[in-house]
Amino acid sequence: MIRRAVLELAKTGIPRSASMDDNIRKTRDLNPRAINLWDYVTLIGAQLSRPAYDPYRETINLDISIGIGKSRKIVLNIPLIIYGNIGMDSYSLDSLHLALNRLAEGGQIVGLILDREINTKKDKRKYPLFKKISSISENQTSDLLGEHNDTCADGLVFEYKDDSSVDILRDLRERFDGPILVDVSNVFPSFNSILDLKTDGILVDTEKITKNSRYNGKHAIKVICDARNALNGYYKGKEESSDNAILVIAGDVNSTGKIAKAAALGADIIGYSTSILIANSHIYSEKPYDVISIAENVYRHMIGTKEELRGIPAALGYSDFHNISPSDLRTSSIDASLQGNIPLEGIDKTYLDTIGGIIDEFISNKELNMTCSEVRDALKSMGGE
Amino acid sequence: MCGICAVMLENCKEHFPIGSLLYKMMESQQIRAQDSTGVAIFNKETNKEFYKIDYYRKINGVYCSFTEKVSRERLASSMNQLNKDPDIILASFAKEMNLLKDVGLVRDLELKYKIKSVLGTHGIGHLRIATSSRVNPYNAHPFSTTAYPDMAVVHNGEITNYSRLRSSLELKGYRFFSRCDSEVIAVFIADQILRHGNIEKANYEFINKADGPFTYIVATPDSLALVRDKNGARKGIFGYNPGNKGYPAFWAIATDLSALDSVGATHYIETPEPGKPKIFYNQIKISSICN
Repeated sequence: MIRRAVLELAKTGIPRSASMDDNIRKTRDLNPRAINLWDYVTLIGAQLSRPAYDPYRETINLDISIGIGKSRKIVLNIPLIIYGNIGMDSYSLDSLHLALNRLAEGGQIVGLILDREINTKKDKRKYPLFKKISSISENQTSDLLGEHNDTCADGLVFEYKDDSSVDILRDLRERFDGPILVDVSNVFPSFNSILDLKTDGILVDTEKITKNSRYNGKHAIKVICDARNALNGYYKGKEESSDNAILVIAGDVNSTGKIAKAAALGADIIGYSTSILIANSHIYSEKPYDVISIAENVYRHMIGTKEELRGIPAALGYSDFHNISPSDLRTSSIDASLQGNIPLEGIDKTYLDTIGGIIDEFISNKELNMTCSEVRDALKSMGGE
Repeated sequence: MCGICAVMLENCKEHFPIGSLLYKMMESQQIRAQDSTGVAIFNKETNKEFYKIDYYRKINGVYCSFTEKVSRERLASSMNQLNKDPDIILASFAKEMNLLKDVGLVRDLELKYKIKSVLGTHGIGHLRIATSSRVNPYNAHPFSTTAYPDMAVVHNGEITNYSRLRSSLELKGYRFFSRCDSEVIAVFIADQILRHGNIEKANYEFINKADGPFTYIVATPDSLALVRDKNGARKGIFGYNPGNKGYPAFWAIATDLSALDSVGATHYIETPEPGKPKIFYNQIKISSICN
């Protein structure tokens, strides 16, 4: 069979993607005397340990949809939404618009979060746009929604400030049938009441949150872990559904490595700012203010990022990007291991598990006068607040 | 590179030592894996009053095996206790199933449990070579779960998104007893069966959710399901032995052709389509099995 596969490859130039034992049914009589001995031996021995997926040949899924219940769903083919608290001039914005349109034409849908209008007169928008809303009073809501209907934003990002935001959010939910993401950075990590309002997703800005007193000095990974745990806690015991709110992690995610880390720790979609930085850097380029060449740079960067993103799950043996989990990460920092429950490099165990094992040994040898549960509580408090 | 196998009688008028067929099939595949071995054999005539719970308990740092017989009335409290105790590892939760597993070769299992003489209507077997977790009796296959009695799973391959599947099942309140990726199949299928009672749908759900290369067999009192991942990256074949005088007809499932050869199940040899479960239903009524 190996010989057949090689001959087939030589003849057609197309490598076999099907399973090795697909040919078994063709060789009904398996008596070695009745068939070619080579075939018999290779059939018996044809079991290779699974190599990594090949991102160029095999399907690696990066798709993710936003929208629960009756809200219109948006499907992204790359789990990124362009987002950043960075100012953009009109050239940068136009080039970003062109690049995202070009990506969409090639079937690569990436989202964009903006707090202002985009010029779509020349080129109709082909990618999903999320309008960012902050500081809005209740009586302005209807005007705003009216405005949205004109510009046809596909989704909203609502900045949740305090309890008074609940009514606005409820009103938005009733009037707007597209997905609504709620930026919970101001109230993090308490957002259960927001999920009760059928929110389609939670947006967590790690940069903003790590500046809060509660998370001062903590890693962004701690914020992501807490966000994922809070979401899991909300859905705990409830029937599993594809309609659960998604987690969007933004802030300081500026490379493929950081995207993969955020995804492994539980992010469904990542707010990505590097495309904006590339668009903004046009003034330092050979052709400043040349929208087409800036768009080309952004487009190439996004394609490169996408291919890198496909490579990461493939190398880990996943066919779906969203199957990456914390167990795939390794850290050399005790702090990071405690805050993100990430295994330490070399020993493949979290710091908590390592210390727990040592203490368990002490207890079983009666060298430590504590019960197992007391030790576990003590260890948990090390990794907790 | 584990080896899996299964046998299901098509029809028979007597008890049949399924264990002897599984033994032959496992022995012929022993070259694939030598760390540990296990079988689960179903016999509807055994023990109708009590649930049998086999487990390992950590005593002074060493796991010792225990068996408890529990009546229906006491089942809920016993399971609750079992699920809460961190020093317990489940081996089997059964009423009709006889699950035997240990480290070593198939001949060691035979010496210890006399598996060749175990009677039944169908059963599964496994040969393990450890890849992700340690070699000990409780990481040996088949895997059972406290969520659903009389269900056993043997698996060859890897469930690469094991961590993600496990955490989602833990969120629903299921207890896991090992760090072996195969246990997640048992718990997932149990959860699905509890939800809609359809073994085929349960396996389709698993294929959709699971990632990685795998072939597994799920055995319940009424069925055997052979499942391959959607890319068909792991082998899994089945064949038929039409029987002879005094020898019942049966379907056999295995990883290697040598196993089917060893029991003469070389008629209609096929492999299921990747991502499409092949289910064998047990059509033997209890009354048709006579002494």
